[in-house]
Amino acid sequence: MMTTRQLANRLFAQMTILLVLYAAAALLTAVKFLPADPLAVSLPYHQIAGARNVLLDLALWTGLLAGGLTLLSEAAGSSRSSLLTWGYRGWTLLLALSVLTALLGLLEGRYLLELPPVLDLVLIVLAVVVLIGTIGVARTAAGRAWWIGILLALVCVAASLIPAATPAQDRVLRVVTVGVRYHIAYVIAGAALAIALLSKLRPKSTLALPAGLAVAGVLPAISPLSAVGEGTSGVLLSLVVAAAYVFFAVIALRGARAPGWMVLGLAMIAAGGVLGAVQAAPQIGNYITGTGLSELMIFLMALGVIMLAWSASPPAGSAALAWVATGTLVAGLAALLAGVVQVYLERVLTVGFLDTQTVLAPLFVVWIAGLAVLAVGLGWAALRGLGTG
Amino acid sequence: MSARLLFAIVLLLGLAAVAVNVGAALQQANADPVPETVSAGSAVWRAQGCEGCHTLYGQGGGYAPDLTRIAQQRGADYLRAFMVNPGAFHPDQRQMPRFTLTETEVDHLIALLDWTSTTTFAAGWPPRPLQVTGGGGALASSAVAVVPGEDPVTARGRLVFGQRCASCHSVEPGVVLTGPSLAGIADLGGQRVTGQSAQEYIRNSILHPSDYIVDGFTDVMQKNFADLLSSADLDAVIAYLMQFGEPGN
Repeated sequence: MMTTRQLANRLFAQMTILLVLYAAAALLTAVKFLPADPLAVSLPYHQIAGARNVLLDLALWTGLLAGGLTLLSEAAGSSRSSLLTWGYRGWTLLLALSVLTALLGLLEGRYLLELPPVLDLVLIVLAVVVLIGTIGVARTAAGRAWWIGILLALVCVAASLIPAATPAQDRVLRVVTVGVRYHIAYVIAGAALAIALLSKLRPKSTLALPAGLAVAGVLPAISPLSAVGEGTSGVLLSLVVAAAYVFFAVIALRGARAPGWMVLGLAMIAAGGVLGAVQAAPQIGNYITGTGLSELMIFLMALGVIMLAWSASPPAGSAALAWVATGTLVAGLAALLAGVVQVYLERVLTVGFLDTQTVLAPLFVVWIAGLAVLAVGLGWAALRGLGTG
Repeated sequence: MSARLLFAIVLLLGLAAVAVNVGAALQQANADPVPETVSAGSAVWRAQGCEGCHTLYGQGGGYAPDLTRIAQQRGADYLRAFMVNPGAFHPDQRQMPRFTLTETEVDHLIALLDWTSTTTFAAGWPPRPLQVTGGGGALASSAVAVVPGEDPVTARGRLVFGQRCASCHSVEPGVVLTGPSLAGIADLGGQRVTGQSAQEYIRNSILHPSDYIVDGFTDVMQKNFADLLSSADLDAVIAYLMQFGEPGN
């Protein structure tokens, strides 16, 4: 049996390894955007992109669960729990099976829901075990918010398994389960971890951060339904939500000397949230959805939440943070510019898709360079974290 | 009001908003009848991981073109030929893997892609037509470039050709993509069908591709350009192609 602190440290180590694997998969995925793709024959895009998405999602889950165990060990003392120890062993097995499934190309053909249903069910069972084992975190407000965020994410995973009667229903289910997870559930859990940490630095920290981000996330979460269903908002509402993301990120950090990983995480969530909010206006979103900007939004939200979880147990030193921040900035700006140019050429001027992609090639090179820097930073963090953990 | 009550209220309000929107979207989803072939096509779509690269209604991977209206744009014959051997199309550009699909699976996929453009979801999306074509190389940049002094009609024809035609037809001598190279068409076009000038031949080949098949090629060109091109765009493409005569002429 292990203590909750030991379990949290081991889960953080697993998250770090998953992030390094994610960085490698993201690099391979990006290389396929080059005009002379060296992997054209050997590696189909949908397989490596599926593996990338699964690795990022599992890193997210693992980091959030590790953060919850950290909260528990601080709220109730680091005690031994056979339930949580078995849960940890099961989680390790789940990660191994998931990586194996990705390597064998056996992932599901649903974008951002690629984990096979059997493994999704295992994930639900194991996460419920952790939720039961961490019921003690409910003693604090931040702990309760984390618990609610994880529970909501689990509901989304379960809802994504509902068999749809028609292709249209399947698309609606996919849109909403992915949207609520990335824009609301994960953000609540991640922001709760940030608040728990900030409370030590600034006693007056409140739940305004997770609550505000959760409400702001409603619009981006359901905005793709405007392309798949009803329109939901106007430009004005989108701008209000975009401002709310920036506002909540700023007030969370005001007056406290927050850890660098937390600042980076909140900045990424704010940037992803602003993109999501802008996309929520049908007048704009209909031009953006399905372009590189949609991909960038998920990348920023997911990695931002991971950074928040990581801030509870950050790697020693500042070099890894500098590399990760630089890589994210370079890759993010290149992807943003590529997305804007893509929208203008492909969606406004109606230039052909492949012609547009050819024009974007130089920006893809910069994007790859940024991802390479990010990969170095994550690898560095893994070495430092695993060496000291 | 305590912080926890506020948190609970805003979260519940947010989730209620999600539920209302999802309910409306599901109601809309149920409004469209779904033939069995479409459901079968959806199963093929998922099993083959098509969504990992392509998008429908803008949802999915962004590595390959959106296919919401591809059946309208290309027609079943073209799609069938493409799915059987994707490598024969737009060489030297991003390639779709060759999936070993059965004829039935191809038919089901085409049924799905035909259906997607007819649903109520597609009524307002995309806001402007999405072109899946691409000539690549020099044409990629020339399609959007401004050529000083170029006749506006020819410039329009160059743009439309880049959007609609260039993924299958080159204007370079000897460069064969899916269809024949159109280099020299301003002279060769007048020699192919008795009684037709080059302009008439090009016009008829666009509107009725099956009327004359160049030796060594098969009849896979899409048949719906009469619906897709305005008469002004058709004239512009013809004006653009009439620039490409035989060397020396």
